Amino acid sequence: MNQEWVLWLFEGIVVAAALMILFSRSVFHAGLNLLVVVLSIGVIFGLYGSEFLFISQIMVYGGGILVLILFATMIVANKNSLSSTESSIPVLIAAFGVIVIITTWVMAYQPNGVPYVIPTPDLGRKLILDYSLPLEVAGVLLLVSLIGATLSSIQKPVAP
Amino acid sequence: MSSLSRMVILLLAMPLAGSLVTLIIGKKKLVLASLLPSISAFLTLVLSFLIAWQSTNTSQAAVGWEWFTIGKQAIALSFEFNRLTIPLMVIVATISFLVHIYSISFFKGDQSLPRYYSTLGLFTFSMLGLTLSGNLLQLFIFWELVGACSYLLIGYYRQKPEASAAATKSFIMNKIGDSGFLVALMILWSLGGLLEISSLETSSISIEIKTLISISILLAIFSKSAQFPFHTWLPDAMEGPTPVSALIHSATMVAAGVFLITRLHFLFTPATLQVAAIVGAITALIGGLNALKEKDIKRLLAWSTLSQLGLMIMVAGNAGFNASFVHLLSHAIFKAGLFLVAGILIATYSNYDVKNLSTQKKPAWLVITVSILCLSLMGLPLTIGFLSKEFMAAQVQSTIFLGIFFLVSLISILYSVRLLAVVIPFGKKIELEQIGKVSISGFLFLPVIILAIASVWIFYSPSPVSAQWISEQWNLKAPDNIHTIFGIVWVTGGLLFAYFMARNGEINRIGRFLPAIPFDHFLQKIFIRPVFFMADTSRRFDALVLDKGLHGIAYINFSIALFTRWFDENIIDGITDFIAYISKLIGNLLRQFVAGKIQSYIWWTVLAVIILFMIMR
Amino acid sequence: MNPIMSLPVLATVLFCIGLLVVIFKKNTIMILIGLELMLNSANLNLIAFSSYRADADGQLLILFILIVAVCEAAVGLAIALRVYRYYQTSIPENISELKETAS
Repeated sequence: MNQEWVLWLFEGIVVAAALMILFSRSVFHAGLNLLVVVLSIGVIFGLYGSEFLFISQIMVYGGGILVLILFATMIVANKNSLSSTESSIPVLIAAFGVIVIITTWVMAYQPNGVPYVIPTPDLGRKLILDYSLPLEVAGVLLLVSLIGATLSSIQKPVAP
Repeated sequence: MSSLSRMVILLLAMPLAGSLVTLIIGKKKLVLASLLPSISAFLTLVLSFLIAWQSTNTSQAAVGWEWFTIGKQAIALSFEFNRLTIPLMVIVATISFLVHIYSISFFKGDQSLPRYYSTLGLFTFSMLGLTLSGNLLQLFIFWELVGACSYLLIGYYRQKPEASAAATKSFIMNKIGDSGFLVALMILWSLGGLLEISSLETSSISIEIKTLISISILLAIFSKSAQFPFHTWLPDAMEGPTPVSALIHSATMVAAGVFLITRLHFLFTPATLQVAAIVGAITALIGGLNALKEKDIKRLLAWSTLSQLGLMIMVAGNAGFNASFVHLLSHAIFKAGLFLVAGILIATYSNYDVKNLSTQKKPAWLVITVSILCLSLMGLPLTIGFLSKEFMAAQVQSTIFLGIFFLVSLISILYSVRLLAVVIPFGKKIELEQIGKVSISGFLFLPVIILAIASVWIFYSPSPVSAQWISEQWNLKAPDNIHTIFGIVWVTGGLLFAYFMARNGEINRIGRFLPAIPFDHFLQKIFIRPVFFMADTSRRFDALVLDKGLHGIAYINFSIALFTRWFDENIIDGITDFIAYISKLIGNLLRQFVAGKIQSYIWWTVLAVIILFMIMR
Repeated sequence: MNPIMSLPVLATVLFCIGLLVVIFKKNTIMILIGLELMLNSANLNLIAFSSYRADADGQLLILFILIVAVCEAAVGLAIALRVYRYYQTSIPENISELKETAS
């Protein structure tokens, strides 16, 4: 297809941004790069026919998790965390070696087939009808984790 | 064991025992150090008289014991008693005793006195052994011992470097002669063990061998009796104490050479005797001329001894053995006396110089004793010196030697008058210093007086000019009247001549006409310096070559040691260090699992999972 | 390469990078970011195979993973905050009370 380059483009963006996270010197930049990664993955979701997931990515990650991360970064700020220098280059090289090994192993699989796009209404129907229990449990989980996170991060009021 | 052998053993044991006891006890009680040896010397003297009496009575010629056997040859310890050994034994014992008495007072408060008396005792023992020995090997042993004692006694004053130098010189010169003695012993042994003197007399040995043996023995005699060219040690030996000079270097040890030539007279062939006569003549002249120049009183007496010894050897070389022996005995008496008197003079007036000693007024008894002794030295009639010299002159057949004899006699008179000038003021113009009463200990002057009295003729023969008894005992031809009268005239004339010279004050200046012959210097250059040079060269060779070799070996050793150390440090330690390093690495690795770092935990877990998947594939 | 196949490869790469971030970064927040990366890589895988099998279950699983990821991120950040407050450090290396010392 002549629109395959879009997929490649966004795959490239994903990899590039992920590498930027790996080599970034400050947590804040890493957070921002994470946003880029996530949004690009959302685009890929969209390219594969689930606009629902695309939008969910944006709302959840962009609107929620990233905000959390950035706020936490600012709270857990050490003098050296903003400009932390990572050394151990040989270890990084070794780690890249691991990546290469796993990737080549994975690439041994060569499935045949044509991608299929699933329409969103079908998705919705499946969610409500077949997966209603996991949906409710997920909601409860969210509630519990919300309360728990809030409780654990309560700080005693600091006297001025 | 016969009584004679017992007495001989006692005679020898007495001074030796005295010597040892003095050495041990004397250090603790200094007072005993002088008393014990004198008692021992007195007992020795008594024993010598007893032996003399016993042997003449029983006419026993020898005593002997088995000593040891080499192969088939047996060597015995033997002691002979004859006209030669007995008189000398008595003289040695007497003079030794007198010197002991003299030393009591001479060495007042000397701390190393025990050493002196013990060496003196040892010397007496050795000299008596030498005199009585009937066996040449035995005699040689005592000969060496006497030389060793002389060395110890010359170098008695340890602080004086001249004393030890003189002692060394005397010992080394003696040793040169002793090599001759050893050669003679070797020849005699190879001829069949002929070491007994009595058996030697009757044995038949070819003339050539006899010449060889006698030349070797002559070498020993020359060095012991200080003949030319071995004479330089005797004047230097005066560095020792005066009693030592009296006993050893005038009366006994130096006389041992003359004694030996008389004992072994049958071994000496005409050729050897010729050599002896010439050397004796040269020595006599050297001694006399040097005595004319010498200022030091002791050295003057030493040169005089040299001269008299030369005369004795010269006469012996003219086959007058017994005559020279008789002169030996009489010379011993008055020379010992002169030395002791010189000791008194030096101690009392604190001066060595003949000229300076003559400026003080001397007590009368000192004048008389010195005069008697000097007259005896001159050989004036009424003294034993005259008697023995007459006998010697009678023996000399050759005209040349006779002429030399009378020349030396004249020279003796001249230097004797020099000595006499010390006590008798010849020149009237010189005023003598009046010193207060000089007190001299009885121990000092008693021996001197005894020896002076012994020099007078009365005790030996009724007539002052000839001794019947002596010519009978020693089988000597009595000098006939012409010789006697000539002798008297010569001596008296010489005395007058000397008297006039002394009156003019010339007597001390005679020597200035004589050249100074540096014989000692000559010896030094020719013999001593090359030896030192050789010693130095060998020492340098040793240091350079041998020590360098040793250094090389040490260096190799050291290099091996260094290499071993390098090997041990780097390789062996390296291996152990490497093993430790590996352990550290493994430890560090395994520590990751419990290090408390969360991220490493995650890392290792993931690795484990991957490996697990890989395996399970 | 197959366009479908490119996604699992990308997912693998992304997973490894996320793993590296978790292991080698010296900040607790960074660990959480790495975790997010790993979760997203799982999602990518799912969408690829859901498209390949024409099954909607995959996409729904993605949705649930997303929800769980949110919960985990919230709780994780709360923990990171507590840890920071307790240990006064945001460097995971220094939080080593569980370290075994020689005793």
